[in-house]
This record gives sequence, structure tokens and C-alpha cells, in this order.
Amino acid sequence: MINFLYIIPEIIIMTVLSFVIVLDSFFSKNNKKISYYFVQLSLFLCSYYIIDNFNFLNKNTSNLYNTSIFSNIFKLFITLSLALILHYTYKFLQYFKKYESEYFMIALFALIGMMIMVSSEHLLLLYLGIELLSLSLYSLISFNRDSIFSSEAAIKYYILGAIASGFLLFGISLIYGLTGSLYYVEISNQISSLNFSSSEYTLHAVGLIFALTFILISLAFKFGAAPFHMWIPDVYHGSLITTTLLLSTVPKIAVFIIIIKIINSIFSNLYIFWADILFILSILSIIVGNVTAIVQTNIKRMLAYSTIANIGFILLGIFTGSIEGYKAAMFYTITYVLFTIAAFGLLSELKNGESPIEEITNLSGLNKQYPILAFIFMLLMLSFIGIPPLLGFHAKLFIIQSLILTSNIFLSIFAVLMTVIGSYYYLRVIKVMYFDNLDNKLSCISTSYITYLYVFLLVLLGLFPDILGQISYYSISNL
Amino acid sequence: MMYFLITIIIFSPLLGSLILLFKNDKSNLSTAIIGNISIGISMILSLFLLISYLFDPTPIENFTLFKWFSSNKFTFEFGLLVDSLSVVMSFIVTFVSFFIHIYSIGYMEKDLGFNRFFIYTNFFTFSMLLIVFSNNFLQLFVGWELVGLSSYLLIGFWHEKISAVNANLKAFIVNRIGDIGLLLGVILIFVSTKSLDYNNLFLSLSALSEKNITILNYSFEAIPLIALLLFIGASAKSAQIPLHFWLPDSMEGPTPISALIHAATMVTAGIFMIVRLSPLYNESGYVLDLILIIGTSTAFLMGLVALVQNDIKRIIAYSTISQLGYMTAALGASYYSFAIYHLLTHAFFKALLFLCAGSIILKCHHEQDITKMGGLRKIMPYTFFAYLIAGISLMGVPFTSGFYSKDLIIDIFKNNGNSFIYYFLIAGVFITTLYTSKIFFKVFFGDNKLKIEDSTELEHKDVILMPLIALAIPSMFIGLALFDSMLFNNYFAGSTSDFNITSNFYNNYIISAFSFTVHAFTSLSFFVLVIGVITSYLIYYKEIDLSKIFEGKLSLIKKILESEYGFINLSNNYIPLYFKKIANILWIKSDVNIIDNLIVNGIANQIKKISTRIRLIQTGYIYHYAFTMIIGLMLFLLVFFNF
Repeated sequence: MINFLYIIPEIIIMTVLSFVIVLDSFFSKNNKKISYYFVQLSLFLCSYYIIDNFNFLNKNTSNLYNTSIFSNIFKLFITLSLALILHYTYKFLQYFKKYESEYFMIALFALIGMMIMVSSEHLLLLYLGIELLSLSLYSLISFNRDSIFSSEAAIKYYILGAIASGFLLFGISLIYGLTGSLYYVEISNQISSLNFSSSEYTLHAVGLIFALTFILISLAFKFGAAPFHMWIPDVYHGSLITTTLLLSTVPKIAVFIIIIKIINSIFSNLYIFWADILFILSILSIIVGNVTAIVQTNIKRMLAYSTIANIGFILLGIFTGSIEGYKAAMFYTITYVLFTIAAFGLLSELKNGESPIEEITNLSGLNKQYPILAFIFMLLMLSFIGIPPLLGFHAKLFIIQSLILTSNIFLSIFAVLMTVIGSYYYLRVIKVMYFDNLDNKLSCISTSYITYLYVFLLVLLGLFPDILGQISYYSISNL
Repeated sequence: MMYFLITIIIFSPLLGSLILLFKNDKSNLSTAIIGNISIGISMILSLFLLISYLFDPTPIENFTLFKWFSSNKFTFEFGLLVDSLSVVMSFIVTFVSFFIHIYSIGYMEKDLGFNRFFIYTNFFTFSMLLIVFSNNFLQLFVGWELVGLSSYLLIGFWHEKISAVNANLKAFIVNRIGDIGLLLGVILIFVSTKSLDYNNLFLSLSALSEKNITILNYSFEAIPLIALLLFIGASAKSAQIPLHFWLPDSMEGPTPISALIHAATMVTAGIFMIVRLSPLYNESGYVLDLILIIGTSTAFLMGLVALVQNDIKRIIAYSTISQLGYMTAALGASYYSFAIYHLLTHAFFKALLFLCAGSIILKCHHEQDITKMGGLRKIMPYTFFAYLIAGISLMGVPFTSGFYSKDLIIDIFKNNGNSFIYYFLIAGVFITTLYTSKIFFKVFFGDNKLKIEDSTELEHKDVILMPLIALAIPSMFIGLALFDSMLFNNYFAGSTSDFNITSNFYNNYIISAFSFTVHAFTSLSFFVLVIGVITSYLIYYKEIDLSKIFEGKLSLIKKILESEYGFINLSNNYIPLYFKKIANILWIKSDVNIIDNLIVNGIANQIKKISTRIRLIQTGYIYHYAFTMIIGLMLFLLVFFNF
């Protein structure tokens, strides 16, 4: 019985979900929004149980499903982020009269998928988690079914996602064939007994390297690292802005965690190989992301490329293979997610005429009409560039520092130079907001004090970066 | 408790500044209320702290407020150092700042930038408090730069005036020179002690004294070098020769700013820093002598320049430089607490002088030339009395605040036998008397040249008169009131390292405030003062023409003084001219041709080209995407097996 208590957060989400699905069909059209409140309630209940049972959950010794401090910190973070994202989504859908309660339930399915990903200690379970997440995302992307772009994006993501899943399964089956197990611990034990130092690889080793490459590449696809990034701009562009918000934030945390877990607990012995993969992925991502973002005119597309560039930075941190690097990468991921939520959330609260914000030029003259919103958006953009004292500065600083500590001097120079190129497109948004003429069609769908409060907290976090630094250090050392 | 109190004192002005920054309604009233209350809270708490420290000056609290960030080996903590010194300083800053804020409500009333003004001044007060309470050099440096920034913004407050823009540029650039010195000093400290805490520096002084620093094959002793570099920073901020010439120009800013920043608080930051680092300076040998010489010459030479000025604010500005020279001289003799004591009294009477000047300027419709004024005694009775008090305090008439602090500094040199310095400072007293009386007689007596109408109502609004009265009280009495408790009771023993010499000095020469006062009537400085008053009465009131007596011999001296020993030409013409020439060469040759065209625009154009090409990969066809994925996978596999 006690084993079930370890997964009580997941059970809560599942229970509320099953309950709401049935209940929702009995609600009249006007009462459907009650389902949304149930969903939010379940999220808060879930985070309450995670916080409340922090130490208890840590005592789980299961080989299959791990509820360590590390995974719980992230479950908490994912749940709270999702609550904020759903808040923006709800307002957005309500305003544009697109509200369907299924949207929120699917989001909960995605949450369960992510929780399974974070906690799984077994490759098949991991696969199930990823698929649950992906399936939910496919349907969320195609949610706006009147739009041809939306359907196109969903189809593209679905087909490419299927290929990536194929890669993943192929990698997993190779590992099973070579080691006879799917548990992380056992695979790791098997691998650590192998010797990779000889110049002649045995067939065994070649197989493992194949498996590693396949698995990492399918994860890189989910993460959106170049050259497996092609879906990102189209999908971000095609879906609703709040779906983009969901897509670009929480799943990235989950994928980040499994990358860290897989390379650290399964393939830690194969450092030289996965470091090479991550090196190429991160360099390509940073270049492609930053350079291509410059010519984009659609703000969602621009932020898509900026996502790719940021993911490059995260991978650069993991690439170092040191505790500092992991810590920096984690700091960067959290920062990236927090600020992306704020940026997209703020964009979702604006409208151009009767449609949501699409082009960068839609924002022109925002300062004249909503000086506070423009100021907040400027802060967010400055943080993406990495201007002190905002959090983005510290995130970039830690990554570069970890590179220097592992004596990758040229890589750190490269990172700094790319940041300079990247600052161009963020600064352009600021220029458009502050110096271009007012576009009279621009208006606000609601005044959100939550955004003000949220950004205020972000600025505070930037002033006291040590809080986040301690959290990432703590969770990494409890990996 | 203390922790909480100091945090409020420091951050209340910042909070006020932020609220004003985001305030939506445009009314002056709410700005005035928020701006004043935020400072008022700090002022009351500082006053409370000061009183508790007067009873018991021993507690020294050094705590970390929060850890800002750690970077590998270096951890930067935001810390607070609360001791008798910082408490006095925070009292001066907040007290003067509060009353000047009230004054500004009246003075800036019709200005369009009313809200902006209060944002800047509140922010300035915050930055200054940051310096005052900091316990490490990095925080000091941050505060140092922030006061520099606020000073820059406020000098150029009326940015549509070209002279104001030039003046703020000048102030900023001159202060940058000092900042380089300060920064180099701080870096040297970090390099040689691996820490930026004051305490750590003081503890490692003995180890440091054996250290040498080699720069380009020349070896320097570490401590004097550090002390010298830091003093360069201090001398720029506290307007000492040769980095003084920004201060007179800074009078382009609104008068309350001149009172707050360029008389009472910011310019004393340099003095404060040296007092704070007194253990370091005690060990620094020849640097102290240099400080003494610079201080004395500033006190004497800049006082002389004030004599030939006619702009009321410029006269007071030169007087400020000269008084700062007195403080610096006391530092050079390593009587740190005397310097702080003069800083304290000077802050009040000099702020008051500026506020009087502001009140006069307001009444004279922004006329600042004192030769065009006259006969304002009847029209402005409040200002007249306030000026009288501030003036006699500045001259050092016994029983006034200025007397107790300034004569103390002069007496140092009388007693340690340094008669050369002593006579220069005495001459300084004579000059001080002359220029102070010059304003007094020219403005308040004689004909009413500007034809200002006398009305039956008050000369100004209450908000302008109230600060005059509030500052007149400490200008008159604070010197006497705190004399024994601050100097005799070793008030500063915990913060400065001059405990032995000052207590020696006190016991042997002063004994008590009463005997000091009585003794003063027979001293040389009092004699000089009386002569000065008589002379200025003859020259400025009776208007005896000096040029007739000396038959043109004075004209050369006058020319030298008006050109300010050549500094005006140097700073306005020669330096800018040559720098412009060099800058032009650098601009055309290297910046435009190489950096701009080749590197910046060249790379930008290339990247744009690359960008448009990479964009083409994104065709939108799903089979292209899938193809890229497969190719990517193949490439990765190829990398490992070197096919």
C-alpha cells in the first residue's frame, strides 16, 4: 500500500482528470469553465502534496519509479509553471471565444506524461511518458482546427515525432539486446564493466554507441536542437500563442531532465561520445537559432528560433560534463522557462484589432499606449540578451563560467559572440515598441496584475540570483 | 533590530524613487508627498540611531544583508557596517536631504520636470546611503558610481540649456578620471588581499606593508600605492586640486541640488572614504604628506578665486572647495575625526548658504550676479537672518558651529609646529571672511538695483522658509552641542584610527568646549577674522576702490585669479582641443574605416546574407524535414566511426 503513496501527486491528477472528463459532459455550455477551475485546483493540490511530502517521497527505493528530491523539485516546478500557463490560456481562449474544457484536460495528460518522464528509471516507462506527452501536444497544436496552419503544424509534428519515436525505440531495443535489461541501474552496471579505452571497438561497444546516438538524437528532436529543429518554427507559428507558450516551456524542462539523467546515470562511462554529440548539437543550434532569428518578422517564429538558440546554450552547459556545467544548464533552463512564460504570457494578453499578436510590427508604439507593459516586455527581452542585473545575465554567466572552468576557452568566446548576434533581434523588438509609431489597433484584452507580480518576482530573483543557484545546486547534487 | 532599521533607512528612498518612476498621475502634490515621506522615514530613523550612538558609541555591527552572487572563488555579499562614523554620516545625509526636499517643493514648483527631479534626488539619497553603510569596496564602488550618475543627471537637469549639458559632461568626465584611480586601487586591494572587505584589508595591513607591486619593472610599496590611487578617486569626488574644476560648473543645476549634492553630501564622499579607511592611510607615509599639501593649497588657492567671482552660486561653490580643502588638510595630518566633525558642521551651514542663495535667486527672477543686486535686507528678512547665521558660521565666529570645527583643524597645525601650513590656513580664514561678507554686503545692503517690490506678505512660501529655519538651528548650535560628546568622549574611537592623537590633543590643548571658546578670543584666527570683517566692510560696504590704492598692481593678480590659475583655459580649451584632435584621428581612421565598415557593418551584412540563406532550408515541406533528420543521424554516426 505504501508504494502507492509515493505517487500520490500523479494519482491526484489522474483522479481529478477522470472525474472532470465525466462531469464536463453534464455541464451546460455556460458552466464549462468550472472544469477549468477543477483543473487548476488539481494542480495546486498536486503541488501541495509534493511540498508536503518532500522528505517522505525521497524514501522511495523503487528501481522503476524514482521520487527523489531531484525529480520532485522539477515536478513542483512543472506543475506551478503549468498552472500559470493555463491561467494565460484560459483568459486568452475566453476572450477569443475558443474555450473548450478539453484543452485543459489534455494539458493535464501532458503533465502526467512529464511526471512519468521525470521519475522513470526504466527505458520503456520513459518511452511511455514521452509518448503520452507527445500525443497530448499533437492534439493541443491542432486545437485551433479552423486554421489551416494549425492542422498543418500538427501533422508535421506528428509525422516527424513518429520518426523520432522510431529512433528512440530502436535505441532502446539495441540496449535491451546488448545488456538484457531496461532498468537504468542495471544498464549502467553493465556498461561500467566495459572498457572503452582501447582503440579497437568491440561489437558490443559499437552497438552501445549506436544506441546512445539514436536515443540522444530522438531527445534532441524533442528538445528542438539543430539539425532536428525543423518542426519548431512551423509548429510555433501554426498553433495558438498560448499553445506555443505551453510547447516552448514545460516539455523542455522534462526533456532536459531526462537528458541529464540518461547521460549521467546510464552513459556516464561514455562521456567522450555523448560530449561530441552534444557539442555538435549545441554549436549548430546556437548558430542556426541566432542567425535565422534575425530575418524573422513573425514574433512567434522569432521566439521559436530564439528557443533553438537557448537550447544550444543549455546543451553547452551539459556538454562540459561537470557538476558546474549541469548546475549552469539547470539554472539556464529554469531561467529560460520562467522568462518565456512571462514573454508569451504578456503577448497573449495583447491583441491587434480582433486577432492575437502575430507580427513584430504589431507591437509598434506599445510604449505610448501601455508604458508599463512595454517596460516589462523590455525587461524580458533584456534578460534574454543577458543584461545584468536580470536573471538571464547570470544564466549566461554561469554557462560561460562552466565552459572556462573546463578550459573550453574558445567555446566560451564563441558563446559570447553569438550572444551579441542574438541581441540584435531582441533589441529590435524593443526598438519597435519604443520608437515606432503607434499602431492604433493595439489593445489589451485584460489588465493582468498577475503578470506584474510575476515579473516583479522575476526581477527580484535576478537581484538575488543565489536563490536559484542554490536550488539548482541542491537538485543536481541529489541527482 | 539594527538589521531591520538600517535596511529601511537605505531602501526607503529607493522605494520612493521607484514609486515616483511608475506613478501614473501627474500631480505635483502626490510627488511631493511620496518623495518627502520616503526620505523623512530615513531621516527619523537616522536621528534615532544618532541619539542612541551619542549615548553609547561603542557598538559596531558588521553584517551581511544577503549574498548577491558567488563566482568560483569570489563571493560578493551585500553587507552593512554600522558604527559611529556611518551613523553620523547617515544623519547628515538624510537630515540635509530631507529639508532640501521640502525646500525643493517650493523651488521647483513651476518646473515641468517636478516628478523627474524627485526621482533623481531620492535615488541620489539612496546611492549616498549605500556608500555610507557599505562594508566592502565593491558596494562602495557601486554607490560611488551611482552618486556620480545622479549628480550627472541633476547638473544637466535643465537639459535644454547648453551650458548645463556642458557642465554635466565636465563633471562626469572629471569624475571618471577619479573613478579610474579608485577602481585601480580597489583592484590592487583585491589582487593583494583576495578579498574586498574593509575588515579583511585592515587585518592584513601588516602583511601588506611588506608587499611590493611591480609595474613595468618599477617596484612600488603596496600600501602607499593603494592609498594614492584611492585618494585620486577621493580628490575627484571631493573637488581637490587638480581635479576640482568640475564643481563650480556644476552650479548649472537647480540650486537645491547644489545644496544637497555639491555642498553637503556627495562631495564629502571622498573625505568619508578616507576616514573610513584611516587604518590604511595611517600606514601610507608620504601619501599623507601629499594629501596635506593638496588640502592646504586647495583651501587657500580656491578661496582666493572666490574673491573675484560675482555669481552668487559660484562664490559659494569655490568656498565649498576651499572648505573641503580644510577637511583634506586635517586628513593629511591624520586627525580623521576632526575632518568628519568639520564635514558635519559644514554640511549644515553650506547647505543653508545655498538655500539662501536659491531664495535670493528666486526673488531676483533668476539673476545670479551679486553686483546687480542690493538692498534685500528689508525685503527678505528671513533669508537675511539665515544667511547671517550661515555666514558667521562659515567665517568661524566663536560660538557658531563652523568655529568649533574649523578652528580645531587650524589648531592642529599650531600645535604640531607645522607653521607653514598653519599660516596658509589662517590666511584662508581671512579670505573666507572676505568672500562671505562680499555676498552679505552686496546682496542685502546698498541700493535696490533690481527694483524688487516689497510686499507685506512673507517673502516666500512656507515650504521655502521652513528649511531655512530648520537648517539655521544646527548651523548655529550643533558645533557646540556635539563638541564634547563627539570629540572628548572618543565618539569615533571605534571607527577611526586616530584615537590616541586626538585624545592627546584634546587633553593637552582643548580641555573643554568652554575653554576652547574662551581661548579663541585671544587666538590669531580670531584676530584675522576681525580684520577681515573690517576690511570687507570698507571694500564692499563703503566701496573703497582698491585699484586706486594699489595703482593697478592688482590687475595681474585679478587676471590670474579670474582665469583660476589657468585651469579654466586648460579644462575648457586646451584639453578638449587636443583630445578632439586625437579623437578625430581615431574616429575617422580606426572607427569609421576599420571597426564600422569592416567589422561591424561587414559582419552584420554577412550574417544577414547567411541568415537569408539558412532561412531557405526551412522549406515547409515535410519530406525535406524528415530528410534533414535522417542526414543528421547519419552524420552523427559517421563522426564516431571516422568513415
